[in-house]
Amino acid sequence: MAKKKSLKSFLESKRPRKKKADRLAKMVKGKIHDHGFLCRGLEHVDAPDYIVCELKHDSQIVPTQDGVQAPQERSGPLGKLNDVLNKFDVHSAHQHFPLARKLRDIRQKLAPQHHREKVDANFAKAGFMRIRPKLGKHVHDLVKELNRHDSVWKAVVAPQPIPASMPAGSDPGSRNFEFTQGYLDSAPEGIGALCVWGTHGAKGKGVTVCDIEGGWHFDHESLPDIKHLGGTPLENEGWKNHGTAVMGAMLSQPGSIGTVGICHEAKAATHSAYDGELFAPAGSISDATSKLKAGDVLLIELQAKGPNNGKYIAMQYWDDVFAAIRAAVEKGIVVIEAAGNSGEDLDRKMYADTGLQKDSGAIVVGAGIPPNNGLNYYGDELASYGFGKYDQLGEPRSRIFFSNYGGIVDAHGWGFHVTSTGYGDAQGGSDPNKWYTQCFTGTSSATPLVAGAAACIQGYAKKTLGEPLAPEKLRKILVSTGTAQVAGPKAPLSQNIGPQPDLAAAIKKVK
Amino acid sequence: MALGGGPFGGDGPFGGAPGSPTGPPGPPQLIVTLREGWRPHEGGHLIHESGDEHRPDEHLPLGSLLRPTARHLLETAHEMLSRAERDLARSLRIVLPPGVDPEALAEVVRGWACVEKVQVGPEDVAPAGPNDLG
Repeated sequence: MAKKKSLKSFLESKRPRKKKADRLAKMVKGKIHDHGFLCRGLEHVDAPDYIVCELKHDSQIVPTQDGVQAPQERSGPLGKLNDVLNKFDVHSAHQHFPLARKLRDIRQKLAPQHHREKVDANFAKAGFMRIRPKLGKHVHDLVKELNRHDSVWKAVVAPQPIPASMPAGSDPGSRNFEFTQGYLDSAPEGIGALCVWGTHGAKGKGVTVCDIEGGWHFDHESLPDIKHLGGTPLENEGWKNHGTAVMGAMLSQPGSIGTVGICHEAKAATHSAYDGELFAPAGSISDATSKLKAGDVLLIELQAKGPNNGKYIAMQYWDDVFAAIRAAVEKGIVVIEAAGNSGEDLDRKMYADTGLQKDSGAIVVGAGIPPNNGLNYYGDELASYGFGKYDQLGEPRSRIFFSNYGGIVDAHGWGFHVTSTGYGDAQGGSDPNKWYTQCFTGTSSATPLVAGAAACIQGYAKKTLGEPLAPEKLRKILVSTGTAQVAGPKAPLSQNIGPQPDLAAAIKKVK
Repeated sequence: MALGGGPFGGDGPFGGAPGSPTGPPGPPQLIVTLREGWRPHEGGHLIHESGDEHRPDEHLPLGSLLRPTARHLLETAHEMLSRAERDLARSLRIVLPPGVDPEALAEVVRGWACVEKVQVGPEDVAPAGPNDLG
């Protein structure tokens, strides 16, 4: 019997410890996630705990500079309050807000009349008392006692504040990059996503956005569940970062960490352009089209070498891609396509009678210079393109030097400094699912901004009109209400990249 | 086959992460649009609505493959397709074995009576990051 008891007691002595450890782990995790960011690197300040005690309006007990006072007829309650304070060996008890005697006396004099009335600020302040016990461990018990006292309205332990600075943590997943997502801002700097999020459906609700390219970090902490529609995702890190950055700009989820996507209430989908044997972009567009519905948004985040000395051009140059886009648009799907990044004039004679000079129905996207266009932290990366270390790229909203341009380009977005998920230059670490970038670039970074805007408009149209806009109408609204392209020193307006979407203006035209 | 680098070609602050976008080597391809009424068939031959057939394998190097662009449309009756779908349904790729000159073979394919247009497929497909600015 004794042996049994001993075994049972041994097991029980182990079990609670594990539970306690689990509970503790949850509490620690909870503190990180539930209580927001803590500024790291702060030295602990050994400031003593104290109590802030507010007395009832009609108590007539008034804290002074070195204690409390009350008229003769209230000596009973005052005595009881002193008993409580004496019980806990109080270091100090005095007024919380330094007030002149005259103002304190008003409290005492007017107290009986203020039983239920609204009081003025000095009357209220005169009723606050600061109490510091000699021993910090007594502070909670003293609060309990004070709150039982007839003259006390409420007593609390004063908070120990820390600076409300931006988080400086280096642990992956602990930082928030939303404040660097300038493209969300109102026009002319951004696309005005923040301006319309308060409008029904304008976060892309009810719309599926599908990205066609090569790879993604499907389990990134900021991305929603992604439905992969087909094709074989490539395991190459470059492709995966690229796809992750595209998805993040549109679909990353709001919260205390990471980024927030332009159309973050839309559903996320992907389709690889690689079919396991070769790149088949047209087949991918066609297959994705068969799985999407009218009003959804399809991005073509690819470019390929064309006939002009291997310069990269938009995919609709190839007839099968052009035909696949047309079929998607005819089904009511909004197709957004990157123009490509070789600084190429798509109106060249050599492209005549190709998809580069015909309307496929897609919204073709060029890249513009963002308002924050300094190169300072890019070092010498762009020296080979003629830029010095601290140069400016040029005029905001003018064509960025690498963007293709021409008559088929409908709209532009930021081609530089786009903050999103992936790459790891803004936040790295061993886990790519916690990587962020502030350097997403190219017509690649511009295209999801325009696609996100399109999804916001479709979400709004579905909510208010009961159906999405036809792709042609949406394109017309997006282009006609956008912020105009600007001429740059080396980028005249004849090098067309179209306007930058302005959601606040566009949504007014949805009728 | 390198398909360009991170956003500006190569690692560093623009790419940030190891590895630039690379993909498997792509074989040479021809992008073919057939004339109205013709469609590719899974069996590797081309069929006209009237029942006429064209067997391209007689004219292609050994190891060539015919890949219809939109397989799911081939199962749908012609009259059920929209105009754009009909155009897409007559599109196909001819994947060539390594070493074949696609430009030379494109000339051969252009000579087929059932063919409307032939393009040489893209040499590289890359994500639309600003790689290879030339």
